[in-house]
Amino acid sequence: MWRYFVKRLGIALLVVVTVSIISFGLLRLSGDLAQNLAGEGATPAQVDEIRVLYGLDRPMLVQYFDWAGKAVTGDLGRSLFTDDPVFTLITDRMPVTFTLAVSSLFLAICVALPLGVFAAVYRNSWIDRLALGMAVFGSAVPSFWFALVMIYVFGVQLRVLPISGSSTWAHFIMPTVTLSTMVMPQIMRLTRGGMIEALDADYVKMAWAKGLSPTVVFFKHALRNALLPVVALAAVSLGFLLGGSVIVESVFSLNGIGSLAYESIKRADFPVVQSILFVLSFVYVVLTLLSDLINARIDPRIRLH
Amino acid sequence: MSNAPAPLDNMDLPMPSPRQQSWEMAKRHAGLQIGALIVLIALIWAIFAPLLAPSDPYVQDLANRLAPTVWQEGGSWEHVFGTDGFGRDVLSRLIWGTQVTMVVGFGAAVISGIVGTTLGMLGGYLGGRIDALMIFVINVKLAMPGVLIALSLVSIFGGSLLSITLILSLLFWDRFAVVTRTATQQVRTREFIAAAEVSGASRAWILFREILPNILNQIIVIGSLEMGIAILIEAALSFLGLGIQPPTPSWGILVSEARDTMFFMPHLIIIPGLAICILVIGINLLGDGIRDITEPQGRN
Repeated sequence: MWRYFVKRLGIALLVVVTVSIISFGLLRLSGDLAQNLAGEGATPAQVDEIRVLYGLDRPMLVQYFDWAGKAVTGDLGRSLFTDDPVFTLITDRMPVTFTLAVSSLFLAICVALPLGVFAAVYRNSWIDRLALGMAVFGSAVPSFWFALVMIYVFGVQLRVLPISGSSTWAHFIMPTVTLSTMVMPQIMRLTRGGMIEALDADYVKMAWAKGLSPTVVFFKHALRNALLPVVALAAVSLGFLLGGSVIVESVFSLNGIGSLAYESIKRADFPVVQSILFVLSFVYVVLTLLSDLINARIDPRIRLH
Repeated sequence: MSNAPAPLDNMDLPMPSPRQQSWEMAKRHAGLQIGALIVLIALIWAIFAPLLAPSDPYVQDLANRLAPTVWQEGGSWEHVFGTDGFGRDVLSRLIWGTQVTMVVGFGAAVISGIVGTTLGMLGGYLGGRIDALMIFVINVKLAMPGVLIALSLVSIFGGSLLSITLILSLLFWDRFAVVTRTATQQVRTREFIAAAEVSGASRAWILFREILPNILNQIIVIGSLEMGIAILIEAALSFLGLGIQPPTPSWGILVSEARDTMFFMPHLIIIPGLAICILVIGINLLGDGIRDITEPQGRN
């Protein structure tokens, strides 16, 4: 177990370092940052002044190590636009996005898991068809459009839900439903596929032959094995939802990480953008590491491999 | 001879070729037919937009803004889906928008397919350090928040058709790589690969003439999936104002432009959104259908 843990941790660290280089380099692609910051009417002298002020005159490598070194201590620089520390900007906005992502994942699992299990147990029945239909629709519907249609139906026509902001829990209902459609189909398909495979496996046939009750066979023998890949997918999905909430946050005017990223991208606020990219990737790496360890805990074959 | 064994006659009947079998299955496969029909219509719209669109998608008619659809009160056949906030014909904009959608979707799927398949096949066939490097690159790719990267890159390189297609291709190669890597690992243990190696075939020959045809099936399915996702993301980027730039008609822009008037003219939102949804479902049905008819075992 320890060997596996150390190896996995080492790879995760390498990924984090690579990701930090990419997030740092990505925004340097935009050409001369000093020129962009100074604006179109700036004189060459003013541009040079800004270059020195933001340390952009130093070699790229020095700039990277300066940024990365401070990032380790939690100092992610300051916003070029508001001059606020990037770290506080992100931590201020994180709760909204985190609440949204976790509740969306929770909702997706609550719907997709039972649906996937029933679809597998009653294969080709109406419930299987319903699950498949939902998965097909869910993976084809544009989330921004789905959000607008919900706003029209529940916010404007029926007037039962608030359409923007984040002041009460009711404000989170429509954003959560919208965001959950982005991961629900995958979780449902994976559960269904895993269950079907498990139900056809010899150990389940053996369990039936022993005369165990259907509840025990389905939940203790089949579902436990079918859930292994779902745990990994759930972790990946949470990371995906944190980064993918930008569309939903924009439609429902939620002040989360997504809308912070969107605003910062629009005004070329590169310290904020690169830090958000890095922080979200970091969270993703931590989540996948955790899910790998959970899986290794559940399934000894993984850690001995 | 009355006592000749009758069943022997059947042996003279030619077995239907794989191609004939696929064709027979296709004729009974409703999902495939619906998917093919939807994609065909979208292709015709995209290619013949100048001929099919009833009016110019850019010409504004401010005296005739927000005209109702043909089925609403006061609607006319002149503007079947009515006009938008600038008095432009919605049906014409929808038809022209198919061009953006199909070019970005197909372009991104093909380019990312080529990149991902090459990486996946190399990793799966060569194994060892190259494979380890491949897995690492895929891990890095998966860790980055795709939509935000796409938004940042579009804000840097601009929202032209070419840059959006290339940026989206950068985002989707990983699934191709993962699937083709696994598929290649399975194929490379088969006898015909060993036979090709023994007979002195080059690596390129083995990769492209022996392995590729055997995993093409999976590539097509992933391709249809990614084409659908690329279409959805292009629409989302354009909707957020960081994709294709107005007044070019992209389906995402049609939805975003209709936001101001959605409370009293919801059809302006519903029509382009449904178009995206139907096209993506069609592409997925077509991909699944092609897999079903070319893979005799079928699903599961």
